Amino acid sequence: MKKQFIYIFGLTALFMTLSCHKAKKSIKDYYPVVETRAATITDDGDVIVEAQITSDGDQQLEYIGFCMDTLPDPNMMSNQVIIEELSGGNFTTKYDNISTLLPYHSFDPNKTYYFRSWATNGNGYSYGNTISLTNIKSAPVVPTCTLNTNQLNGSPYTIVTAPYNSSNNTWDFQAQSQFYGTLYFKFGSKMRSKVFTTINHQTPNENQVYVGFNSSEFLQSGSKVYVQETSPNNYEITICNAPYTLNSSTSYVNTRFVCPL
Amino acid sequence: MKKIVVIILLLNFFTAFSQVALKVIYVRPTGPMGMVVKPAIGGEVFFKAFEEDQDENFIPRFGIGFIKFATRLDTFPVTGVITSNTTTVTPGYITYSKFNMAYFFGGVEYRIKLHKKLYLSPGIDINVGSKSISYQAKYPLISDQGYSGGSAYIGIRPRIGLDFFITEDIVVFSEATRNMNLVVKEAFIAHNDYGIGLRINF
Repeated sequence: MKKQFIYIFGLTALFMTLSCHKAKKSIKDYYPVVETRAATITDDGDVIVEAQITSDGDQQLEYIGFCMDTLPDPNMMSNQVIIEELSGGNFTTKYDNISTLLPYHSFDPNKTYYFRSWATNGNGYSYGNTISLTNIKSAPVVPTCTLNTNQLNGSPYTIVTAPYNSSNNTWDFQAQSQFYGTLYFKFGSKMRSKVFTTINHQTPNENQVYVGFNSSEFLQSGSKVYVQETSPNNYEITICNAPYTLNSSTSYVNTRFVCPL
Repeated sequence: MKKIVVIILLLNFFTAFSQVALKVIYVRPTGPMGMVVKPAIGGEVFFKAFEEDQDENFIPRFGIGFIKFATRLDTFPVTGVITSNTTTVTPGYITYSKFNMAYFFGGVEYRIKLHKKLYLSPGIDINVGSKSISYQAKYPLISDQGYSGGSAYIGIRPRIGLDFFITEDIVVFSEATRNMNLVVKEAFIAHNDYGIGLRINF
């Protein structure tokens, strides 16, 4: 009886001791540890944010992501981005300058934006440090030619109408030229400081633009349209030596004008 | 008549358990409990059977204990998830206002004489008790609720102790105990405790 008791006690004590999951000294060790490494502005005026997970905590990671706001220490749900993949503990995202995520639809260079990472595991969540950025805007667009403003192949013209066509999700406007008639612009994404590429049909994709004039001519695909946002919703547009076909021969468009929308 | 029989049986029972002990314990939570509550001080009162032959024997005992815990954080960050067309992770919190444990235990130890007045006493107890918890939990866009209540548990605890007989009737003792829940999934009572106490024969 004595021996059996000692065996049972010994085995029970051994099992219990081995199964003992000692409490961690710091409560922070139960939660993930994440660090917001960098937030950089691209030439397009987007923001790329990078972060790193340095510890999963006491439980397996569940979600990782970023948040952003104009208030310091943004809440996890502010412009939340959930990241699907980790690469060696690192993860990254891009906040587009033009994005449905942003309630402002574009970054205001006069405001300060705060970015931070977050991570969750079975115990809860934790935030990384916050990085702030201001003066978020795209790099200046430099055309390859120098032209006088408000002229088309040397001929002056004015902007006739400039509506945003929300049903097609395109940005359309027209410029009336004294000698060349009406120039039609149809951008496949919101106008911003960027180099757009011409396309020869009227359903341009993002970063493309259809430029047509009169009723049948249009710029050939592949030319560059330089758009510089000079102030919110005010743009300077330059086209350098872009070819089009007229009466079976090739002609070229050189134009630079200011476009209020 | 029935009442008299019950009283006599109880008197015989308590006469058999003629040692009363008071123990103060230092509780170190482990596992999930260790994340939530700090180490705490608790107390136990128990009765032990008294045997004339004190050299080596099995000695049963039973008693009650109580531990009042304080949480490690005022507010614990917790996560909610909303899954519809897209997934949204929401930052919530839990705040505890009460976290106590009370329990009955009964068990047996095997006393081994080490020296004239010194005994080693390994043992095992079965606990039956309850946790009493109150908290407020909020998960933004999901729920905001309070809870106050308890849950019962059945636990087992192996222990090892040293008894020193100051006199034949007065003993000081120390014990180390590992407490676990018998129902594996409900493991929110796991803790170790280290106690010292005084036992008196009456």
